[in-house]
Amino acid sequence: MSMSIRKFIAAISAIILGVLLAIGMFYMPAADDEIAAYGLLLADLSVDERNSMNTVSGVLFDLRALDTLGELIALFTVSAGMNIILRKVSKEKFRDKRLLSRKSRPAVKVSDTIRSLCLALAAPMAMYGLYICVRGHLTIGGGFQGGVIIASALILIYLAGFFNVQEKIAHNVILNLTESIGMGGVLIAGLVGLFLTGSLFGNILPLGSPGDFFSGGMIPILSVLVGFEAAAALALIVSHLQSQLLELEEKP
Amino acid sequence: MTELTDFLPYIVVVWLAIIGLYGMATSGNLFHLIMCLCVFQSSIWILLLSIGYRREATAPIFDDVSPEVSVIDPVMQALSLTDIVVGATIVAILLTIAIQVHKRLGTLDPNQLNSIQK
Repeated sequence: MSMSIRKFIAAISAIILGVLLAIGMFYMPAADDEIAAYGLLLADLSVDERNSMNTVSGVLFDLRALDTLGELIALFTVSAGMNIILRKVSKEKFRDKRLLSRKSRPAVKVSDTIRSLCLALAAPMAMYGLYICVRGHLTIGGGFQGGVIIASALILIYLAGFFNVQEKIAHNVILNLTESIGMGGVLIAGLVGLFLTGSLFGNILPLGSPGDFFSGGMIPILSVLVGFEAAAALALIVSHLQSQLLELEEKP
Repeated sequence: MTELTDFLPYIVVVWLAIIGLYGMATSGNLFHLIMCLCVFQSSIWILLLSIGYRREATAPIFDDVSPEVSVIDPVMQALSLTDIVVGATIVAILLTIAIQVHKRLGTLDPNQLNSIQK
């Protein structure tokens, strides 16, 4: 099929779909309406029964923690499965070491300002991510957001021009260990809740008083574990993608 | 005016959805196709957030407001967070497949991937 015919058919279908979607949108709730009863119920439950000031964290890490488990399994599977998809092809002979050395590929010039700023920010960035992780039950924050911030510390090291250091960190066993701790910890917490209270991710810790740091039962613990998992999985994904050079040596 | 601002997010949703799908259908490059998928995903986030939105309501975080105050839907916020994470994983796996396609077949044009080679 030639490109012009395809564009024509795609445009016609897009217009028809757009009209249908626009008709469907008339039945959507306007901004004046009340929110759904389920949302109201969860907002009340999260504050009254779980002592979590941040309702979104209460929903993610306690009341609907099963969804979070599925999400984590998706992250875990992708970060592990990328290794399988990115296997070497027969033409690809010198993937990492030799192409990375300075002789065949000149190192990218990074200005001193960028390098010093990125290196100075890397450690505070990781700490800030951890801080966002542990206060998810109190105010704005949570495991996923904190995990992404922690993973961006690794990207700062790459931006500073230290690709080899970043590779070393990314291939370190600690990263895989962190991911396993996050994933396994969430599973164990869910199963312990299942055996002790009869429901998956049931709360087994004291709830504390609302607004305290040690409150919310399992919410801060799950939040930190999810943060570990998200940070390690994203760092692995980024390093998998960056280790692909897209330069093939021709077969001799 | 109220009418327009009520339905403006939904208009944006429809526009982003159809423009993303059109880009995906007519794309000539696998990376461009993945970016079009991102545009389509962002329409879903706007849809989720605008379903949960309520006028003169605050974020569902009660650390400095009393629990009686009206809030926007926390389920939609949690769902959009879930969707962002799932979208990131999908984009990651699609980028991986695009890299592998380029390595094996030497092209990123979907039109040249007519037959399974080797």
